Amino acid sequence: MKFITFLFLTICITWQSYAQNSTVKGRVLDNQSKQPIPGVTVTIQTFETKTDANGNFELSVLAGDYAITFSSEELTSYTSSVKVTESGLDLGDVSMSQKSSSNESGVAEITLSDSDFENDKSGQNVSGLLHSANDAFVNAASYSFSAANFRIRGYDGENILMFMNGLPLNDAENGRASYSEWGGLNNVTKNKESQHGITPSKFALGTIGGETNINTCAGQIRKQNNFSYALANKSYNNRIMYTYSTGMQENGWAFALSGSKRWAVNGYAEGTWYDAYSYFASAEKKLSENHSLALTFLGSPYKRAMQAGAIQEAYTLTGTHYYNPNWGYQEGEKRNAKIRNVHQPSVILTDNLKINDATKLTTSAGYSFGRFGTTALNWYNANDPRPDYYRYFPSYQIADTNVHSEIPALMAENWKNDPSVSQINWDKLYQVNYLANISGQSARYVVEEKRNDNKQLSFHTFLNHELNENISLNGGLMVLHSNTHYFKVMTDLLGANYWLDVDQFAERDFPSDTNAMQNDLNNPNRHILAGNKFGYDYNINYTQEMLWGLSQFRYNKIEFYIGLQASNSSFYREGNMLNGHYPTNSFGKSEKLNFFNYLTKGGLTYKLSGHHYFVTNATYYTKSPLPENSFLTPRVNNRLLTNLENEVVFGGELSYIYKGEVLNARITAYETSFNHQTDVKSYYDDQYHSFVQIALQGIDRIHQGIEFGADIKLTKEITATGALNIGNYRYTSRPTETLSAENGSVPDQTYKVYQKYFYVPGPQNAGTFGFKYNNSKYWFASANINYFDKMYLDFAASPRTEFAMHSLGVGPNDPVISEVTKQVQLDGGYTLDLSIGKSWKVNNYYLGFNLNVNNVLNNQDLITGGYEQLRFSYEIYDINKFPPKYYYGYGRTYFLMLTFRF
Amino acid sequence: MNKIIKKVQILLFVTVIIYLSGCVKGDFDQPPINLPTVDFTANMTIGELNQYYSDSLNSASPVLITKDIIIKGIVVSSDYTGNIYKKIYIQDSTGGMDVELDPTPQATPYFYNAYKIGQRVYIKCKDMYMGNYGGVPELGYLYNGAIGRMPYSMFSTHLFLDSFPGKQPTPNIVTIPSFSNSMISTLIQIDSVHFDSIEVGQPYSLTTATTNRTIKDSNGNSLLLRTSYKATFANQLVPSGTGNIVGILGNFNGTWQLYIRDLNDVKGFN
Repeated sequence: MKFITFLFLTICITWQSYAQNSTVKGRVLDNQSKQPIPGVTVTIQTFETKTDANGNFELSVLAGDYAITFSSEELTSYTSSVKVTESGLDLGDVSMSQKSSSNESGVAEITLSDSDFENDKSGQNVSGLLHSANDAFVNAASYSFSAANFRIRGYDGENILMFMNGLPLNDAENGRASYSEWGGLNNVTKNKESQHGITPSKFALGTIGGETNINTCAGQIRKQNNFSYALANKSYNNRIMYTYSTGMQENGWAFALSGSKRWAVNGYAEGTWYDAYSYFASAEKKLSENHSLALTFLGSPYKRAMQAGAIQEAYTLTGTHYYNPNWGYQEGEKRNAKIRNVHQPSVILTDNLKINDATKLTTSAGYSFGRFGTTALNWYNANDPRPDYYRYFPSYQIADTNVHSEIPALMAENWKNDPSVSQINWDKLYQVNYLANISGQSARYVVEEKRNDNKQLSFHTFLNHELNENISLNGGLMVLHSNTHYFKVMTDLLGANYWLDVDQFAERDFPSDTNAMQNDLNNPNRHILAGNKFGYDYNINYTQEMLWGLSQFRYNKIEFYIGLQASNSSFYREGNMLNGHYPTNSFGKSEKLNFFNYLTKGGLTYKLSGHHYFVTNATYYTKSPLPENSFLTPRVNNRLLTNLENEVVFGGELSYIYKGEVLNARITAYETSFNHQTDVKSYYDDQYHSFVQIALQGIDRIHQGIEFGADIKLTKEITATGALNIGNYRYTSRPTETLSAENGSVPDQTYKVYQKYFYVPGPQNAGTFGFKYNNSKYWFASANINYFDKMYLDFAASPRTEFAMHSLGVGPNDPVISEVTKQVQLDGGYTLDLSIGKSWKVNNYYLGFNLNVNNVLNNQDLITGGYEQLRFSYEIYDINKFPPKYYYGYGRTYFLMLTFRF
Repeated sequence: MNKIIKKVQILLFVTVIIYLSGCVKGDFDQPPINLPTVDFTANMTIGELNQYYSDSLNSASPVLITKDIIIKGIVVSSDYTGNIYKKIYIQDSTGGMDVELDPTPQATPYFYNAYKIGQRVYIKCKDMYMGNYGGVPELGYLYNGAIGRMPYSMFSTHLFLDSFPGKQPTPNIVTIPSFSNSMISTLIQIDSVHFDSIEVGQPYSLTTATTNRTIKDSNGNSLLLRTSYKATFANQLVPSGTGNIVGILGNFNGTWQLYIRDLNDVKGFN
């Protein structure tokens, strides 16, 4: 508390400055087209500005020797030494060259779209969300490290904040920003402002992982007619994209239009396909010299057939690391059971008002709405239709020594040769349903879609004010309201006449209680047809209000800032079905939860000279539990986790930065502790015949490590780049596990989980080293070797409990204990990436190509993720019964893009 | 020049729109209903098979069927309630057969989805085993050296459906004293019987173990009704009064037993 009082006092003290500032100005032009480029970041020391619609920039610094850096996502960064005198410096026109057809855009986009896996928490790759053209480490992490699901400092997606025109893009309920919401709009989402780590921004204080704001106002998008076609062999094979934008015109209007289509009939993994579109329209009107209004409408609808992780036995039997259990043949055609179908359009109105030379007010209001659905097979009193159900594997038979040895051998043969065994047998599912029709029974097999449809209204207004040459004050007010509708809808009855809307597991466990098995007592025994909602149906309502302020102080040798933020989050569940098991607490509103949170941040920069900087940042904040992690069994009732508490985060970082004409480098030591985290996962347990939710509370962890990034200009044309992260991310507590069966067949069980000092999953060590080549004839080439290590598998809580140890029935120090409880370490690995590109100018037309080849050496053995199955067989411990599921990184892939601009 | 640019722009937009009009497969057709048929015929009756392998009844270890024997029969059992479990009973005019099947795919078997009562099935017996359990012939596979269930992975090469399920087979109406070995594993009906008065009002099965209830005819002949504790009707109560009972006839080391498929097999009591 004393610390906070001190921060407040510091704000109130006005510092006097006697030094005289000089102005550095200039204009940035494209060296091919000679057109001005808006949105280029110009940096001297820690002072930063962006070029305006006409490419002009102005920066105030003290007289002295500096390195000045120009950077943007579409341009090759450029650093030069300048001498600023007291009378200022006019650099005139600065020419910058386009990165060869924006070579990396495809990489980032594709890698992010690859999170096709069911388990979004482990599949989501956040590194590509990062952007900072100015930082060697971040550049490397977002492109080279994305192959192995590397996460910056090991942080979860909820700690990397994304904004669009100042409005938050991170989902209110799960905390994560989803790249797919603006996927395929590469040309119009390049205009970004971003900070890495704890450093706050002018648009938000951020948390610990950095924040990025995408500016979509048409006036900030460079004038262009851009058509591109890309050919690839990753999750999609083809992309066409067209962008037209006017730039700010003399009549005060700017327009930007963009659209794309990405598709694959057969994606990299068998049985996957991809069908995505995107559209974007933005209009900006300059109402006066100091005031403009912009309206943006965008969306990226997509459908894609997904891949799932599998156990090693399945990969071995099928002979490929890209075995995908989600598909099977239907009349000779491949059909995938897991289709993700998403369309979340957004509309954003942004007002930019320059109140005076020192004060800028930015206000945005946005609304987004749409669908997020994933289909899956469901079945009723019938065999599990999934080919990788554990009992279908030879290992299940081998485990039973009474089974004749011919049987597992026969099963292995079938797995290897018969796709009706190793994949879903759709034709058979239909025939079983037809037989059910004959006897008047309900469907045995269906395809259903689980929907999480979100509507979000957000508002953010923030002020940036230069109080004097040394002090700037920034602050904002943000209000956010989100409503997510969770339900299931029948997609395909697979030839059956109807589906009976009862809980079949309850039906079996409570045969005499016909109410208990009802999913909706208000509509009992409903016959469900395609298009009907069924199963469960509820809404989560979430509201957040936030007030933040940031004071920045800049002096000749030192700079510092303090930031404060207060927020209030409240949410509740509203059930739309009266569940038969829970007639008293399933329908209607739950208790409304309310959490007050605050955040403090402070940082200090010491400028040894125009080239050497020492920076330290620290933050301490509390954070509301996510709605996703607050309900025990939200599909069926309003029950909340007991003792819900705010998460407490304390983080610090210390950096040395060198900025020179030849060398740019940063080394940072960081440490963040997370305390009182909550996490809820669910799985189907066939022992209880029920979905079981596992709630972990009191998770503490610490993330510490060293980040290093450098680029060295070896010659005018060749740059060497390198980045390295050495991490140590560990759990530091023994959380409490609560298991709740949705059908109530067993009472809740609570255990202590012995996971202290376990490793946080994902690669903790990663490095990349490479060369970039750029010449004046617009040739571009690069080569990078990437290394990943210290990767640990995501682990399940249940085997690490005292109860599990008792169930094993072994004495202390029995080796089986460590076999059951030890965390699985995955093998590290290397990948090699190459790219080449060139652009030509013919009259006023530009033609470019670039080719990226990732994982050139075709390393197909790099496990990039996975998880232990949450089910644990207590009775008979058998390591083969529920083995972990893995994902393998793609082998050699390419991305070839042709661009035509005029 | 501007006109050319405009034309190019229009062209690009048209190209984009053409591309936007789909190329990834959308909805799947519903496949036709397959009428299951077999392209071979049976070469032995169930009665003949029982006779042919009668030595297996006297042997402790099962006998491997090495000849190309094909039998056909009508399914008379259902595992819908779980009372009959991990097996199907088929019969023809010459006798019945207990076909032991391993539902490995699932803890709970759902054979009734594919092998409905009234369904005609063909069984290619070669490479299967014949054995006996308590004196009842069983067709299946080796398990721990004894006769056991045929694993799921062998179904597709040994079990064949023929046509759609026909009408429910009519049980053979018999009396307790007339039971003979040829009736084993067939569907029978015994008329005018009652439950032992001590057991009336008791559940069909206790919750922990498979339970025997006694059925008696008016002459005092008795028969055990054996019900699995896993049957969905296990906790229902045995009725008083007199009625008719349908079921699959079994035998365990000389003791006759009857298994009902569901409570519809207990007819007309009270």
